[in-house]
Amino acid sequence: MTTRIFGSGIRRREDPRLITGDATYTDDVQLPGMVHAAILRSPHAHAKIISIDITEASGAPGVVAVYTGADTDGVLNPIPCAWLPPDCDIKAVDHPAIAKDVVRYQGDAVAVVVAEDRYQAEDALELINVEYEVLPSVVNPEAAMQPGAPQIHEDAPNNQAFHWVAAGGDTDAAFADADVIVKDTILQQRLIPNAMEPRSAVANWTRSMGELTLWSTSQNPHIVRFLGSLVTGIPEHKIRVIATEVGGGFGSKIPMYADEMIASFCSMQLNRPVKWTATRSEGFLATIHGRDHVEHVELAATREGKITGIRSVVYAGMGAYLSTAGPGVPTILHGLIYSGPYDIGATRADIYGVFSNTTPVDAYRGAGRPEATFLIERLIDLLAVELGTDPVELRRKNLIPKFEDGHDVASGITYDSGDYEPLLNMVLGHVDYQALRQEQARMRERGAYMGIGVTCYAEICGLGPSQVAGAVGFGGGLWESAIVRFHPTGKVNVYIGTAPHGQGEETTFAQIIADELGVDVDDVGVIHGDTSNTPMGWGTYGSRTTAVGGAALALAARKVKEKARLLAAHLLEAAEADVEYDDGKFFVKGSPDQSKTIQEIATMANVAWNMPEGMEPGLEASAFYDPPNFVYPFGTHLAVVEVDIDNGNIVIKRYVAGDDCGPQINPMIVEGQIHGGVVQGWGQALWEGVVYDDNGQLLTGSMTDYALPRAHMFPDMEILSTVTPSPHNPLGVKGIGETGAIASTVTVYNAVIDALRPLGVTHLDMPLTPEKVWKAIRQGQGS
Amino acid sequence: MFATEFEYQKVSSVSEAIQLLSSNEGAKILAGGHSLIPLMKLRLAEPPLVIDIGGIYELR
Repeated sequence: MTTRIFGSGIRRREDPRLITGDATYTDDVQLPGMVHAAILRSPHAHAKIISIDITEASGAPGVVAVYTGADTDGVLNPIPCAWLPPDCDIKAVDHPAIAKDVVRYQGDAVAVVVAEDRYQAEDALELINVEYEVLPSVVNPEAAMQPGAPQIHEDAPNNQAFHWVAAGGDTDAAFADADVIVKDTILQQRLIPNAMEPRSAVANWTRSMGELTLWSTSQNPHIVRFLGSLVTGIPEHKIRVIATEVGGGFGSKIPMYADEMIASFCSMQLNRPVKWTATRSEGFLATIHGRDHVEHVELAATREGKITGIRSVVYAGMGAYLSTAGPGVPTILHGLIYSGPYDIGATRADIYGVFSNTTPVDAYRGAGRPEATFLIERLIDLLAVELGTDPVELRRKNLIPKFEDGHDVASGITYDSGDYEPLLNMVLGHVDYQALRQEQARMRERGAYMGIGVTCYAEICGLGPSQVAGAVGFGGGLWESAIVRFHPTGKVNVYIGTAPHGQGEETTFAQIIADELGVDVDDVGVIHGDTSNTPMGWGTYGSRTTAVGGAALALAARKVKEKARLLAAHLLEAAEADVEYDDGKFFVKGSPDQSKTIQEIATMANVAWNMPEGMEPGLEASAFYDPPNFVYPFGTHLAVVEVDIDNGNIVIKRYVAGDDCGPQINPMIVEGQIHGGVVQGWGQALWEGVVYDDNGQLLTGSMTDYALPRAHMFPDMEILSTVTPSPHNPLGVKGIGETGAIASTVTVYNAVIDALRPLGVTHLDMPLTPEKVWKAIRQGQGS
Repeated sequence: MFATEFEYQKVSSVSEAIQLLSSNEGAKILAGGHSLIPLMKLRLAEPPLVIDIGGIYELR
């Protein structure tokens, strides 16, 4: 092959069906006799349920059944939390799928109607009469821990879900001995993930077989089967979960939700297929939210700008119940990477997980790492102002020097590989940083306010070694598996345990196989998302699919190739040691004309007319890959913004993303992942933010009130990269799915504050809306 | 986002629209639908009859 397919920006093979509408999403599934569920949700953030009267609803046109929490007693087990970090006194509170005595957030399920069509189900919802006794509620995580705050769970005093500490090095000494200490209070506002496809479930129980088939909008169908078995009591081998076409997730389709289990419950009761699809408004209420930290953070440094310590006290909102992976996000995925890309002797994260009367919080793109990167980079910019030095030079001074195989940081984790400064230099050179600073000075002279933000980051992803998963309380493994199967005609199918839902692995995984086996990329089909025909896998999240699942696939391919080589030796009547492989062909050393293509070998293995003694027929292999470590991608991002001081409007003029995710299988797809992540991060910086009123009513409950970024708001992104392979996985690859969101929020934030500093503005809470910016400018100028 | 059941009539003249509007209590006019339809889907508006005036030539 002259051009290597690994590394080629070929088009995504998924796109034709997605663009033309040929894809079959869960809501597209139609089954004979299917009925439709609608869920009655609490209008109150916190209330006792005094009584529920379903009489009228039960008799409404088309209604098949109405169920309340009492009907699920002894049938549905509580919804589990599957990430319970150790040594933090975590309160795994009861989470019934349908609330029984108390509702704890606006959106908590109270009853479900099943009807012949969805309109009839919605009509009947209005006929259910629920009597509530409204209780006081609390929404802010720090306020929820204050004395006198409303108590949300009896067994979680002060609403404390857990108190987790990660400390390494002597932070007390670092701060006691510091020449300079800078501090900030950062509100990582609550965000609403907005996958284009709302959540949906079609549950089909077959009573005669005792089997459940569940179409589910999930990033991890094997986990849905695993946890669904625990909730419903159906043995795992009698549950089939199908999530082959999922329209985005960003973390919000990781959790085991109540609603999918309610649909399964209804199907089991009625012995009919049941569909439930969230409306967009319902998604805002009942699909997990992200972030929600109140953080008190500080940084210690010498007068020369050497950072000696970072510490935090974080109140991390968990919402009303612990979502599946919720507690792992502000702890393991946040508190362990306070060093970022810097050499910092001491870090300490004091994390309080807190219950509040709000939608449960779980992983949202970046999950813990955007929050960590934000606080590190914010504090460094504050230090630069304090010391009167250039923020970029301050960063450079503290970067960890190049390392190729392991670097320990204070929190106790070991980074895999890193070479941070070249990418910093590349980004600075690309924009001519010094010239930009000069331009900024000239603009200020004429009353125009441009700001520059530069972020260096290193993050932890590619989750991860299973032994570590067990040690940190993750209720499962974090390995992956894959099967590579040659068909008689020499075409290949691979079956993977991960569950791509828009990231493009149908394309990139075919590229891995084409590269490993020398077959045409179009001769490889990638099968995923259905537990009945894919091997076990823990799912697609935490930028792990390629680093872990792709590695499993490469190992399976290498097993296949070795078997093919042995069979080739037999067929070529050559000694095994004399048969070599190049570009899809096996040949006898020194006689390239004596050769067999891998497709010919596949045919002969499948017909098995002439196998060596002891060799099994067929040409396929499976591999299980448990990574020895996480992967640690890194980069430098730079934003140039302009603020219109007359109206507070912020325009991003330039954005440069420099990222190193190791070797890129498909650079176009890498760029796409960066684009999406960066935009979501900008959304947090400038527009997005959940607002609850004091009674726990979600005021940002629709697209009208919740500002998602739109395409016209952005400049073209400038994408740069370096390649530093991970030493420990077979492909050397690192994750790229989240880096954009991890770096871009603080990059834009710091740029805006950099623009406004001459006007006396040194702090703003996100999102940086024009109104907020305008008011701050007025206040800064003392008018 | 599921509206309650309603009747729908598309009219071809202003006089027909006025006649339907005056003889059906709670009827609503549908022009572009950007306000009315979301309100109906949120069940904040539940008109028994929606009169579509999009086909009235004399209003063009």
